[in-house]
Amino acid sequence: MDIQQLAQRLRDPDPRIRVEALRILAMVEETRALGVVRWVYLHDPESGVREVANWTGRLLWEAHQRGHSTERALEDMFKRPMSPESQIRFLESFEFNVGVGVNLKARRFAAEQTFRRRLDEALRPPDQVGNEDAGGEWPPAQIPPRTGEDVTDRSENR
Amino acid sequence: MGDSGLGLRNWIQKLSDPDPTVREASIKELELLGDTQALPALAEVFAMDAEPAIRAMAQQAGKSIYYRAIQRILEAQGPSEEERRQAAEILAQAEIRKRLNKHKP
Repeated sequence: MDIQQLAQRLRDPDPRIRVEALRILAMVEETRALGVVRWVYLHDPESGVREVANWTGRLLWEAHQRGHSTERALEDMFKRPMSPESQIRFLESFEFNVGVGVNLKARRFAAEQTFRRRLDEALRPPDQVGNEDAGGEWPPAQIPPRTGEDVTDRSENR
Repeated sequence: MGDSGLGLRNWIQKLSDPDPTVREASIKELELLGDTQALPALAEVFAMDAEPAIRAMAQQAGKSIYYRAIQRILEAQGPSEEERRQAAEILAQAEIRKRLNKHKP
């Protein structure tokens, strides 16, 4: 499975694939997907998919509210102590063949900066349509709650 | 399908075992395998399993596989010319600061 295709799978013609992608995004708390999940919740033709999108959206919103983000989770990797071998492997993965000093701390800092920029690129959904700012409330305010739908019961919305 | 593929399929099947200890063991094995093909099955456990502890374990395993996959993607992409230039700049500045500090009284 190509994780970079997850956002695109939300537009797959097969609703089972769309539900699968929504569940994965909820599980990994991919808060960057909040915009595209909101789009599915508002526009998907299948009510079952919209219900799962509602469940996913609430979980992502809660994660966003408590300050979780994939970038931060990955950045935390830098805060954990690394063995010298891991540090060298990590730095080698960036191949900084620039011949400027051998200061491990500086090389690590440079690698970190590059890693963050690349992470930002890698996590940017390829399709920006419906991928508005993750900052809104959940559920989206402009949508009236559907009749008979209990948005507070997680088990009914997954 | 290779050995790892067969192992993967085997552990995924066990995620629906009625015995929660078997499901737990399967989640741990899938996390160790680190294959993103396990993500849909883990996500289903996360969404549907009757045991909250197992749902939490599936989430943890899913995140671990997901983050490692992102790391692999990042590592597979070689640095661009711009990244190399910026890295060189950062390293050069660090070197200059280091030398200046050495010469401070």
